[in-house]
Amino acid sequence: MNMHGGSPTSLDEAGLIKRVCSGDVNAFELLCTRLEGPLYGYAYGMVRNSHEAEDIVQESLFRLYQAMRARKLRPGGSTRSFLFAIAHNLAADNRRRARPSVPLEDSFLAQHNGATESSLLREQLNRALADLPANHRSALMLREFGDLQYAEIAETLGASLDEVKVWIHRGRKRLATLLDRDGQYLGKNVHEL
Amino acid sequence: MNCNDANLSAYLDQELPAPDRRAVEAHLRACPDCAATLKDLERVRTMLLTQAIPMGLHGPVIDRIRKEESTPSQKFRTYAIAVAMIAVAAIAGYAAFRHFNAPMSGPPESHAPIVAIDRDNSRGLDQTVIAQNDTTLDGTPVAAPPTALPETSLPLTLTGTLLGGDPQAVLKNNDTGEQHIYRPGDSVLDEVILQDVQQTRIILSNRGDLEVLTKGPGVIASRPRLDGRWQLAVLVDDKVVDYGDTLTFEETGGIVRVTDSNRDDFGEARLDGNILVVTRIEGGDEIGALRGTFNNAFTEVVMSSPELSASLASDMSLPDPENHSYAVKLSRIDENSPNQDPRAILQARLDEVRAMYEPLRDYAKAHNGQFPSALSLLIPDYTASTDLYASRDDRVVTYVSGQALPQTRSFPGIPGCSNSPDPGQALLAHEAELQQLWGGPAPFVPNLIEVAYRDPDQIVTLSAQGSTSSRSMMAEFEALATDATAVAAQWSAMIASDQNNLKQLGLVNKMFANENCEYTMPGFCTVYPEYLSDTNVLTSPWHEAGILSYEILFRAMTEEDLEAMAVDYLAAQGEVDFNDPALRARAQSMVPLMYNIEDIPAVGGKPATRNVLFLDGHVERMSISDFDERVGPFLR
Repeated sequence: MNMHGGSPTSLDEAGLIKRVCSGDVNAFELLCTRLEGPLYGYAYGMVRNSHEAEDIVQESLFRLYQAMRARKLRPGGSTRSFLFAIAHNLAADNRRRARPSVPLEDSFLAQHNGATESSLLREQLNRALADLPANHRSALMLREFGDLQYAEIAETLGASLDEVKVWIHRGRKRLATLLDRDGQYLGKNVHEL
Repeated sequence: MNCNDANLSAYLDQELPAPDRRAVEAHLRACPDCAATLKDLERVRTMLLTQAIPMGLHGPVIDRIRKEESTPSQKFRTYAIAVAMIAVAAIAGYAAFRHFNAPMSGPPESHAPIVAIDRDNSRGLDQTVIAQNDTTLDGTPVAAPPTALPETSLPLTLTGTLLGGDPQAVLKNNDTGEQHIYRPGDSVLDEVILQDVQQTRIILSNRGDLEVLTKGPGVIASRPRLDGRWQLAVLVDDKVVDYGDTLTFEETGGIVRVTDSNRDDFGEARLDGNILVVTRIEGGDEIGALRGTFNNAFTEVVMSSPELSASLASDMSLPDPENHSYAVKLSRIDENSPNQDPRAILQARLDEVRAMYEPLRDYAKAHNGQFPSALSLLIPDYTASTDLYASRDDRVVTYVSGQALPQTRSFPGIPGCSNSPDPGQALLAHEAELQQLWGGPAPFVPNLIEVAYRDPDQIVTLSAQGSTSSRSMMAEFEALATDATAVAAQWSAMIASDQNNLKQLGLVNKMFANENCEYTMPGFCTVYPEYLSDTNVLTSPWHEAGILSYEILFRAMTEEDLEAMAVDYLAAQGEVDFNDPALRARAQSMVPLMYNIEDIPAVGGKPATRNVLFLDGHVERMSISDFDERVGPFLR
């Protein structure tokens, strides 16, 4: 079977971006379906509240569209890292407005116990994430949900490559000590063995 | 490398350059602590990746964009369209979206699980609901998947599954509220054992009776990431008849980028529930819309389409395309058992045989170029034991004694092209001299060692010059003679191998011409070993080793002369347009340069053929009548 030569169809990410830049909303919708999942994962990991995470996702996507239409995207730059940079900044703003994030979600979950059976595991993870330093959490979330390369994460966070490498490692390692094998949160005072 | 190094995470993320990666791998083998840390890091990653990912969040964004982009003049039109569309959208909105998502033609899939947000359920965390839709898009009911097993009445809730190499299920005990992760074989309650984890349900053995526990609405549905290497195989009537390339998947938010074994772009696919939808195949336009449903563990997907069948039938010369079902299968390569991959097996075998050369060469260098008369003479000066050469259950090693290191004379090149009165003649004279030295038209180096491997059957040879090569066993091919499909598959593999030989010879010729005043090679002896290092490419798979299978048509001529000749030929046919900018390329593509000396024999109802290499480097297989028509005029 011939698998080489020929031109790619226009529905790869680059093709979609081109279409969006010329105002194709359908193309943007398709692009959104590809980006929103990872973006939500990232935003949720940062703010640990599903309302806020949804808001961040929607605001980031909207700003991405505006930037694309205004052709403000840096040529050659990654759309994905641009989008996550917006989300990162929105999440940081959110944090500055300072709300105790964990209890809100907990009480909310308690009211909806029947509908959110898997919330326990999520909640455990949630608590553990709250214990990570912000840099470590950001870098790790960008890696796991954004699927960004270390270099892109460094650019997004305005950090050096070495810093990113260390943050991701420390973040993961801390989570590994905070959560046992079954995903149970062991408490803030656990120290690395 | 010291312990506690951040390199472990970078290693997990495939962010390390090759030397560092190897250092980490070496360290991991030696340091159980770091190996355990790596396991912990992987566990954390798995936990994060099993989180629910909601879909459809962009809906309000798109509404907002559409609203803002509607200028007053557009508004009426938009409104009119909107009225018309709302009615349609109410019924088929999702279908339309899916159609947009799957731009290639093909029948609409009917069994796709629909991922939707359970918005009314809650504004809570777990918004992904995976439900098997029970009707097709046109409303026809779809047969429900067979669920012969009864739903369990145990006080358990399935809150998540993780599939892949290490399947896991997250179960909550409704009585105690405790939640734990279980693996198949684990005891969940007294006399209740987890038997199997599937994507949306698990199988429990409750006091010996099998029962099903299905995920409720509003729970996390998860699957393993598809990242990793996948083996492409061609199926005819559900049987593997050929293996293709090893592909690498890189998954980003449900989009899978596919690269081939050279890490070149191969295409892109999209994941729709457990359905892989191929959205692009590099250069594979004729294959049509391809999609396939993953197995429960997401380790295998089979895809087919009418276009693919037609393409496979013609490319692989398989018989009766109408009466057989064709498909391609992608199977995840388990990196822990690389033996699954036929290429890895072959590579390991070639390496194994290559390692046999060094002691033999060292011996020959110390003994006037003569290889030992028996392998035991290598002990103890050149190797500690002959285990390296031993026959085993899976291989038979044959050593050919009485040979010497091959003598080569390197080609001095044409001294200053413009100064030489007749470079073509000088080249031919040099070739004639070398042919005398080699005793024939090809610089065959005799084989020192032949290793016949079992399962899969292959013969790997080691030449006196140290090169290794492999071929499938001819005997095996003949034994297959009763199975038409298998014969055809083997035959097409041999055709491909023959064409590959000619392509390599085409490259040899190009390299030679580039460095020698654009003259074609004068023969096979001149180009050895500077341009042609592996003389095995001189033998087609139909011939025994050491037989020259190809003829060169135009020796020691310039490309310019050959092009002029082709143009003259076209002119004589009245088919030439001298203003055509592509004339030169056209001429190059029609001048035959090398071809099979003998016809490739007819087999399985296929007529005899020949492969021909053209001046521009392309290789074509043609029937004998085509050969006479297209190559014949140049022979005369």
